[in-house]
Amino acid sequence: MIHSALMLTVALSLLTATILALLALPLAGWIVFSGGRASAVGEALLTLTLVLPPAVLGYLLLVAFSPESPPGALLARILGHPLPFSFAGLLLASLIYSLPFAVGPVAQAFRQVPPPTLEMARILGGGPLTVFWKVVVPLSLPGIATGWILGFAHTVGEFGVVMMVGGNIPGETRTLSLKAYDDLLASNGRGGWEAILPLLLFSFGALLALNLVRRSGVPHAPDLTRG
Amino acid sequence: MRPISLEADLLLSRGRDRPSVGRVRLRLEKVSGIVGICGPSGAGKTTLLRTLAGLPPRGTGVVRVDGVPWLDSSRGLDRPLKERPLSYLPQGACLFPHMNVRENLLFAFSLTQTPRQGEEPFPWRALRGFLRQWSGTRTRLLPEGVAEQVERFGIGDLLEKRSGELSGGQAMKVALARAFLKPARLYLLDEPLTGIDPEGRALLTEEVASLLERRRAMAVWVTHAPGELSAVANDMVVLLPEESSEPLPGSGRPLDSGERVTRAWAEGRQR
Repeated sequence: MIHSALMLTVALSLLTATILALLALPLAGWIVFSGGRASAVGEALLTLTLVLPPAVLGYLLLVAFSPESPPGALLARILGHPLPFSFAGLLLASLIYSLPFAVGPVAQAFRQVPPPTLEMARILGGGPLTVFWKVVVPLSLPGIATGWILGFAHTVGEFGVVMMVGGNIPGETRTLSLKAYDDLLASNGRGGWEAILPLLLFSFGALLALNLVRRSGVPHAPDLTRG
Repeated sequence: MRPISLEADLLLSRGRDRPSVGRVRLRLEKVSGIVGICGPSGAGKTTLLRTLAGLPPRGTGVVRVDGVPWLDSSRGLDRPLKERPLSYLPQGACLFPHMNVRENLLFAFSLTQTPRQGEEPFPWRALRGFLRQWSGTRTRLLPEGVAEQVERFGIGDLLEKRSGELSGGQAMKVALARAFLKPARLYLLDEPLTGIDPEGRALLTEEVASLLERRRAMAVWVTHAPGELSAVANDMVVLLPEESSEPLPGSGRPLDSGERVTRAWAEGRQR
């Protein structure tokens, strides 16, 4: 059972982090470069999941995903099964839950691209898309890597949301953190290590990777220790 | 030969909450060549260049190049960067830090090439370029336009260096070569000789002058030392800060009789 919980967690976190890293590019680009008032609202909405208690967010998502709600019904029809208590539901919930962690570092990196560099690219004839792909994104690679790592680590460790939306079904939606909780309860406080150890390893690995990114010597690498 | 003309009547601004620099009027018409701009620090030389380029902080007034209005505040016209045939060398070179010298030049060159009809759409072209770069099969041969500038500015041995590994003068030469990759009517050069050794200066000035002559283009060249332009610039504009009541010239060295001080005013603060 540990293997399925481990594999499930790894699959969920890899998928979430990768999808989020791709989504983060246009989202962070919009937040940083559009300059409109809508982007301020967008940024606030993105950051909302940072401050909401995970259980509250999980509850809201559960209600939204339920086949009785219009969006839930639509998704259930597309997928062929109701969203809650399924891997797809878990993935969608994780994407929403970890979004600010993946977008934040990317937006931060975009903001650190020096304006004269952007100006230069425009003067030489670069359109907005060219400047974005050839100048902004390459200069922000450390931030993009950081966003991926944080998205991964944050998904590995989530508890409240996966509990609410996934329902803790062994082999289907029971992730490592849920298994650690179950084991701990079942063994009267003495067990749970087979789930705890990989969680520790993932967390440590993520922090180590973050530091390696910071020290990679990439020009303009953002200092991650200063948020 | 079609002469190039530059007309400007500008109220320069240093941005919100900062005092205006004052009013500048220019009227230049020449076949090609260099117009020197000198004056003490704070007179608004860089601000003038940025305003001509249409970069913030935006001034108000009129700019006309070859009779085409680039800026006409009274009519609400402010031509976007894309429609202004200009190139700009900012202070401090401003090379792209994630590219080496070769990539800096190739990137600038690629921006001057309009995509041909029937070429692959954006994602495939980008993907192919990316793969070629990673597999190391890209050709070492530079396109003709790039090779010419590399030769002219003598930067052939710097091609594989990153901008961080260059001295100030080397970075400036690369930035000059990059600025001249773009065909333009007006080249705005902000102290392009910074960091370059005295022997190199004369050589570089000659190169720029001959390039401008061939392209029938004009350079507006900001300098702290008007003397270094005496050989090539036949017009010199002296900008004075608006507080200064002294008229022209006043920038260290009396101007030679061969030089013509172009009409330039830095008038009192406009309220």
